Amino acid sequence: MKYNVTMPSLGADMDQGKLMEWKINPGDVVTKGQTIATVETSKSVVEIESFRNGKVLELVGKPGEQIPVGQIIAYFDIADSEVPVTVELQTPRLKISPAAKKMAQDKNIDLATIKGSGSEGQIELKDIESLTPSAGPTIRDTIARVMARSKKEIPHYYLKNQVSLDPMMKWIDEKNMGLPAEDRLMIPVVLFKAIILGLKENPLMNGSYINGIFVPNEIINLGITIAKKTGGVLVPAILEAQKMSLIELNKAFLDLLERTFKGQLKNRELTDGSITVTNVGDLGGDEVFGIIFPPQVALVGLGRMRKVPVVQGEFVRPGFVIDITLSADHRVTDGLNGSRFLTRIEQLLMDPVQLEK
Amino acid sequence: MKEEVIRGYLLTIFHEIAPEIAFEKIDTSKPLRDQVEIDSFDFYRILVLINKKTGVNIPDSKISELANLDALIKFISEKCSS
Repeated sequence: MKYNVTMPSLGADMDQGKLMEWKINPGDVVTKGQTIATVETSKSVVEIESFRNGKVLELVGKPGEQIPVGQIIAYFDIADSEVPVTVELQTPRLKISPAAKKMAQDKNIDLATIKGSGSEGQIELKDIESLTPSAGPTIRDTIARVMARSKKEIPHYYLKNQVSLDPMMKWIDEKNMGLPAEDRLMIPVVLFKAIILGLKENPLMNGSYINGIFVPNEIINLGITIAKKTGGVLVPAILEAQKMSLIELNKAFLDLLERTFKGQLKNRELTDGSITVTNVGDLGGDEVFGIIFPPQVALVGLGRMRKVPVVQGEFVRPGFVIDITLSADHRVTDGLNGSRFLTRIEQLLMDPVQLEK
Repeated sequence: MKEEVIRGYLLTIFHEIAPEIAFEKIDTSKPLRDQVEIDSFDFYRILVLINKKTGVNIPDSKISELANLDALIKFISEKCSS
């Protein structure tokens, strides 16, 4: 049967994407997960994967075109057994008249910022006519919109634990001594591993809140904020991180960093994160209380690792600490759940041998 | 290993990781990351290459003490000779 391939949404903040290049040709056999095209969003260039096995019938989208999310870009021929039987989640449809939609596209207006004056909030032509054309959303515009929406919709609560890193530092030094240079473990990866194991025992922190319902995710797609050298941040995810050993997680993180900087991320990496970790790095602030990335329900903040005076019995000695914070959605969890999660992360870092499980 | 040799390795490594940095202009007595823009990923790759080229593994617990190039070169030199 004929299957419509559409411009995918690479996040709640994306209205359209620029088709950069097709990686397939009419007549090609395509397998699920295969890269079929590259698309430029306001944030990055992303590789688009096929969601189905099939054969390419026609490529409708033209390279260089700005294409709205949901518009058909290609037709595949797929087997009837490939037709999904599950009901896919739909985002609420925007109410807008066709004329207003056309003018908004011409003027490159972000429809999410418009309050419609028509019946049930429908956006009418007159709502668009008076607006000045936009040069296009910048990465700053995108971040502003998503974060403002999060702060408006999600009742955040915040917790912090200051965690001693002395046991972890001793452990990672010994571990890296025995590893080949290219497998050297990064400290953030060890922290990620503690978060992943903590999530397995605290599943209410991992999932999505959509249309008033929390849907836990058994798979942990660990979203990580990565600062782009050209400014702004991206939050690609290490997919199925719960399956990975420390070494595998280390490799996956390095690969994700490389591909983020090269603009070679895959669409699922930008859309399927189930929790986010923000890491301010060794030059950043001591603590960071992040804003949850919707529809996720929690965000873990890693502050600057540093040496401080540590009281041990009757003595004071220098010791490594880090402030680990949690921003969580009060519609899904309470402070008690959050405290258990943070405490579990701390316990794992105090006994890092457990991270090798 | 002589410090001049280590300095030569570092020049090569910095050129590979961050070719925009004028290595010769770095004040070796002042904190490196106050002078050049390298992120923690760049720094990680520098540590990996130092290990590959000199055989010296720099422990994470020591990094805060090796903030400038003089300290870094001295550390590598001492480790090589031991």
